[in-house]
Amino acid sequence: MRLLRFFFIHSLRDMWRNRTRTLFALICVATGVAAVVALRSLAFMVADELTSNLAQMNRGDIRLAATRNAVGLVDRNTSGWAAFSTEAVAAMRDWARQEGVEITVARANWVTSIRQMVQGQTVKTTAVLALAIEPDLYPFYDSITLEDGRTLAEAFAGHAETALAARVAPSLSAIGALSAAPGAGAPGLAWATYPTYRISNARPVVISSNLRRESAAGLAEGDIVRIGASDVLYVVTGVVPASAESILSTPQTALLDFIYVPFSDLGVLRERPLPDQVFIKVPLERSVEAVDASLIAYLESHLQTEGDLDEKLSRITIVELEEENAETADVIDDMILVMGLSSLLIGGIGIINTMLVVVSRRTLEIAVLKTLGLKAYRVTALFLVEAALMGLIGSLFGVALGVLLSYLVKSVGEQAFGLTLVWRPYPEAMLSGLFLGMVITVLFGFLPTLVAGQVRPAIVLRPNEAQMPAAGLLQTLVTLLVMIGVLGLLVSSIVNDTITIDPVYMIVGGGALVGLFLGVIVANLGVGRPIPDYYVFRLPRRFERLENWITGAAGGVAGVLPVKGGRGLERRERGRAAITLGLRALRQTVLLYGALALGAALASGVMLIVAESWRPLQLGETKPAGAIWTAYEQGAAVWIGAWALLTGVFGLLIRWYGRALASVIALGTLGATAGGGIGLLAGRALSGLLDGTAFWQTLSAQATGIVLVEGALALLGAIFVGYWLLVWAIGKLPPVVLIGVVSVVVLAVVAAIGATVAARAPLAIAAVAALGVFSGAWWWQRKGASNPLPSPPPGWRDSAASAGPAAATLGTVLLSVALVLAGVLLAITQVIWLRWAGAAAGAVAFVLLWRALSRRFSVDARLILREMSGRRTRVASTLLGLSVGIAGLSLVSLTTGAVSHILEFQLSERAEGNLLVVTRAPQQAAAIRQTLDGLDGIEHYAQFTTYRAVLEAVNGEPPRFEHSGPFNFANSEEAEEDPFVMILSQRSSLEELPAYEMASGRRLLPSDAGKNLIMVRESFVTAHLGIRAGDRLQYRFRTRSDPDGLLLELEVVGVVKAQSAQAGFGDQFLLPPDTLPRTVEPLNIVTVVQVNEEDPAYMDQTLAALADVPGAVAIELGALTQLLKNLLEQLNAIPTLVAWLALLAGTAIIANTVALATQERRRQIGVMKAVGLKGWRVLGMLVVENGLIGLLAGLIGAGVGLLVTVAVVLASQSPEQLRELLELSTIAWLILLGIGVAIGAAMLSAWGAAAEKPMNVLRYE
Amino acid sequence: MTQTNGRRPILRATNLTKDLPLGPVVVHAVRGVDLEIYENEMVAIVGPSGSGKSTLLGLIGGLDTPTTGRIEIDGVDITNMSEGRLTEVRNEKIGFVFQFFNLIPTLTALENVALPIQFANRPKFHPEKRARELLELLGLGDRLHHRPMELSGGQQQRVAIARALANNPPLLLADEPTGNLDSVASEVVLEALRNVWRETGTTVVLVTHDRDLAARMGRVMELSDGRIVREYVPV
Repeated sequence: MRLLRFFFIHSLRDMWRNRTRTLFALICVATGVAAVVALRSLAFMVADELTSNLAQMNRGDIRLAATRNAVGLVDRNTSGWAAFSTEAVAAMRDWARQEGVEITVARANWVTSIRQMVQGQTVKTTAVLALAIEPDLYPFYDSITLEDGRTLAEAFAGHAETALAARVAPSLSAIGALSAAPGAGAPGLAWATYPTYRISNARPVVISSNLRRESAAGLAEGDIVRIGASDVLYVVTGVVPASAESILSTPQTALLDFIYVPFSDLGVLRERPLPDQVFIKVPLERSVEAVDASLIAYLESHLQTEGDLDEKLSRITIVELEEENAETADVIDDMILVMGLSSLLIGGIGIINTMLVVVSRRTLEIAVLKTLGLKAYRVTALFLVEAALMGLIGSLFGVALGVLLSYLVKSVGEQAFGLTLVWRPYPEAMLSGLFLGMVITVLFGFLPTLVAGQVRPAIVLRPNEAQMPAAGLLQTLVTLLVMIGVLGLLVSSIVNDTITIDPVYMIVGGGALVGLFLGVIVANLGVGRPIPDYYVFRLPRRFERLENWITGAAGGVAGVLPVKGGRGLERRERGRAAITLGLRALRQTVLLYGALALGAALASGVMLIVAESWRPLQLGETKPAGAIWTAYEQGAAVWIGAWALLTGVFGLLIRWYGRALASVIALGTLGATAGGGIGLLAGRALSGLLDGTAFWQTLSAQATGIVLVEGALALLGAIFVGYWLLVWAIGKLPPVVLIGVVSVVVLAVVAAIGATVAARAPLAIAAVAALGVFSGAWWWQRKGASNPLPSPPPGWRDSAASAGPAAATLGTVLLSVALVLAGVLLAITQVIWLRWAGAAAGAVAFVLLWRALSRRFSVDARLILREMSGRRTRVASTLLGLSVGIAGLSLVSLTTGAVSHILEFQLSERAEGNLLVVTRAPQQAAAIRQTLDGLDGIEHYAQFTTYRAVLEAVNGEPPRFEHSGPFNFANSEEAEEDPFVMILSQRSSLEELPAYEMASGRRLLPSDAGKNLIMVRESFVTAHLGIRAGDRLQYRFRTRSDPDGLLLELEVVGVVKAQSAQAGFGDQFLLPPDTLPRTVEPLNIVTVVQVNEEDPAYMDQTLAALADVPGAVAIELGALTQLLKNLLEQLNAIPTLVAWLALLAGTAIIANTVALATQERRRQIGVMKAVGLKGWRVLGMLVVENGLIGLLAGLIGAGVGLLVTVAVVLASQSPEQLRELLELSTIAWLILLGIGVAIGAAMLSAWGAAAEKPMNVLRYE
Repeated sequence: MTQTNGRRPILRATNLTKDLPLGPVVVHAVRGVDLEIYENEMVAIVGPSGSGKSTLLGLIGGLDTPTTGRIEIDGVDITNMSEGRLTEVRNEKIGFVFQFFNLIPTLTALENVALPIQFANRPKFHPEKRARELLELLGLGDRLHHRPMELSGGQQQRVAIARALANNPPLLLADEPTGNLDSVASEVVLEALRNVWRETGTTVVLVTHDRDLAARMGRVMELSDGRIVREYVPV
């Protein structure tokens, strides 16, 4: 207790004494915790919304939905969708009267069109979701308020004509006047002709606010519209906020804007008046379950139902909704928590760095404390207390920050989940942030505190030689295992319900990690370095007997072997010599193995990239085998030879130039393999012994999280090692390269700013360039003039003269900038040779700047590189933290951009048309064709009928997907039992089939009509089922007549390449016309139409005409693309937020790193300033050093996004779009963001360090 | 316990060697040193820079382990002791005074001196009371609550001596205790050490390159190239 008090006081004083360092460490923790608190609060807000107001959300206590399963209750509406039959509705109403409950019906899945009418003409047709409701009853438990404050019921109850009159003819105030004097509106009013269109019969419709704002024609209150195929005129009598129908109450509103029409109008709207939704309001005193049971019993007794109606009638009560939503809320919470943890883990890197610096700065103090009698574990405890205090204070700050942040991110949640959220502070989120912050800080701070315990007390005798020790092997291993355990428990608690993993894999993973770790440690201990001549095999003194035994045995063996000089020595000496020789041989073997293994991996990577780029880069027609074993299987000798050659070259290069790397790879892989193997044996043995016991079950419950953490640690470890090597390699670069990079970045930024300004104000850029030339020339002519020192004696190498005075450097910098700006002005012209001249000016500017900076700042560059290399562990961890955020941002921006572009391209460019017409009613197929045939501006169209079918056999064998691997998804058993349901399409004509590129077989021909053939497109499904041309696929189709359906065998006539340049809709599984009998129930009729795009009137006219076909929905592909883009943006909202939060955490880390680095280097900076280095150059060095880290993080982060984008595009059906999809500007901005963040964060502490007076540092440091 | 000449040896080292690998070569910092230091002795180990003085002090103080040889402190063999046990020995049996004082900068003089008592497994004194007594003994009664930064070099070194004596160890090892002080402060510190030696009976082993300082000790051992080349009693 006494000691603990001392630890607390001592830690607090140390934190206060080094408050700058402490502050940055606290920021690292606080940003991570803030991310967790903000994201969790968001999850709770969503959960609140999901689990409260359930009755409002459900629009009643019980909600019934019409599905085909509820035989006896359902019919079809005009569009072909399932709806409750008139008898069923009547029965329900009777039952409601008897039970004393309220009931209302609605049609909620009616996708139709709304046409704005001006002077009797359609001006705009828009696809909408029409919600046919009973306005006096809908919705139960809620009231929908219009934007002007009226209720929905009021909007329908009022006189539509009054609103109409106000808009149409302000001078005519009564509908009577309009009806009485058709066509006699006020002169000059465009609306005057309205009364001629049965205006006195106009009916009310209410639209959503999105429809008003977003439709091109801009619907407004008072507008005359037509809905669907009906010719009855409606008038917009109100606008409701788009949030009136959330995606929870009406999911279709995520894709389509909606309107409300009275349910009683369905007949007038040429739709069958059948509801697909029934809402029931149960009185408070009644049990919802009892009422539900009573309904089922009533319907079963009064209608001809089939099977168990309780199971077949789709409905949801508020009790079930509560359970479902609570589950959804849990999933969202888990997902968000995992995302938030990533920011916190990045913050953990800051803690490791801080604690390492704390320990390194206090090495002497630790040695003194140990000299005075403080034991190692107490030293560890002392520093652990400091880490815990930092965790606590940082987490408290983080909680406060997180609560504020949660208010700011509320809108992101609203966008992502389509909900209206209510903000409030959530104690649970705050507590979890505090808890996780503390756990992560202590966990991450633990290893450095172990290092503290290892400080040798002898350092006190030679304080100038004080060096940080390495943590003890055993302690580090224990820490690693504890870390895996604690983080694993955390993750298990989050993901346990979703995936279960056999604990054996957990033990294998643990063994492999420990083995890997041991291997890397042993490699670091000395395998990379040659064994020195003075090396003598010795064990610690307490193992003297063992040492004697080993040396004796080795001497015995060496005595019978022809070892040079071996026989002349005493047996143990001979043994020692033999052991040295053996170790040398072993080291060489290990190095060669490591070098070749890494060489082989690199060679395989290169070959894979070459193979993947083969076709996109048009290197040849046939793609070579990517993987080497595939090449081996194919007997591709040249490919294997090239691989072996590359392996040899890479391997030898690594052997000679990267011994440390080769040893780490060799021993790391050997260790991991051996550890994994031992783990497997141990796991199997334990499984055999303990399976079925409570202990094994407990272990199973935690295995998932632990395996995930093991995987994540292995991945992070690999990335970290990669970064470490990168920093090491950069440290080896000559200083001129760094100066070249700085020159490029500076000139690129100048050029980017110049180009942005030049696009608007070229004269301003010209003026700045001219100013640059003049001022540069002025400074240049001043060179030497400002040097007050006498000339050096003849023969001396005048370093000042060779470096050039500052004036000359400044002059050259200004001239280079001016030159780049001039180049930008030339480059933005349309003249090719001027553009080339602009590029040349840029190149000259670079050479000038590079030479000038190299002459003056090469020593600075050398110091920067040495510093980076010397602190590569910390630089690598900083890089890791910063690059995660940028990688996240690049993934969400680049990849989403590419996916959205590919969707747009495939929908607009590669589809057979620009308009999609969908109906579920087969009888409308002809009506659609007829309408299109009678229209001008239709270039061509293709009609498909889609069918749902179950694949029962492939070549007579049941189809089968192979499941393998350690992961057993919770519902995998159900998935295996699921039938292979596929959507097949039958094309109405094969005359204009696109020119498909075939992988095998042939295209369908017009002569194939009526034959049992099928053409398939390559996909994941076909690949897994191994479908090829000539195969026989047996499908079962649903028919109206036969309950067992129709079994039909189709022969695969050809397989279309996945990336076939031509693609149409519905060509995944394509049948020739007339193959299926009419009894087979179709799913949809899809018509793809190409409308002339030269005149937009054609499209408007086509949409208007198709709106007259009842049950058909026409959607412009452009609008569909926009909808998909909106959906993607919605899905991206949370990942984008998380990426920004991760970047924030990365920024905190880099600020922390710089603060630590400057503190560590205070003495060095003081010495440099004492011998004449100016403050701004110190600042410049710190800025460039961190700018370089930012540049690397930007390049790596953007590279990750780029790689994934390239992979996505290459795997898509439009790989040829790759060049267009590489958004260079986004990549450039991401890199600049990395540099900017790093420099900005660096400036926070570098400014003060650069201004430090040298005497202060040298005297007191 | 072995007795020699009627006196009890507090420190005994036999055939002590220490090899330090420095890059590609091995430096033999201490080569076969044998020494015995008795209770209530005041011994100086002198030698030029690089002769192995500090290494030897580290070995006999249990701060480092020898390559070969054996060390006994107060009759206890510390040669093969674990780090934890060595720490206890240092806490109970050895006091250290360093050239650069090595006080904990965040703690006051009183707190610095109380540290070894607080670290002890079985404290023999009340930390604050004992620290106050020692500081007053060393003439720092008015500097109890000053931090090291607020003390002169001589005062800091006296605090360090007080700290070394906190657990009343039988052996006090001083590494160039006046090496970082001016002549006046050096004299004060030396006098303080002599007072301690006289009043507490603690054995003092002082390592220095200053022959004048060594001449004021009871016995002098001269070290060169890691070996004791001469041993004499100053006149």
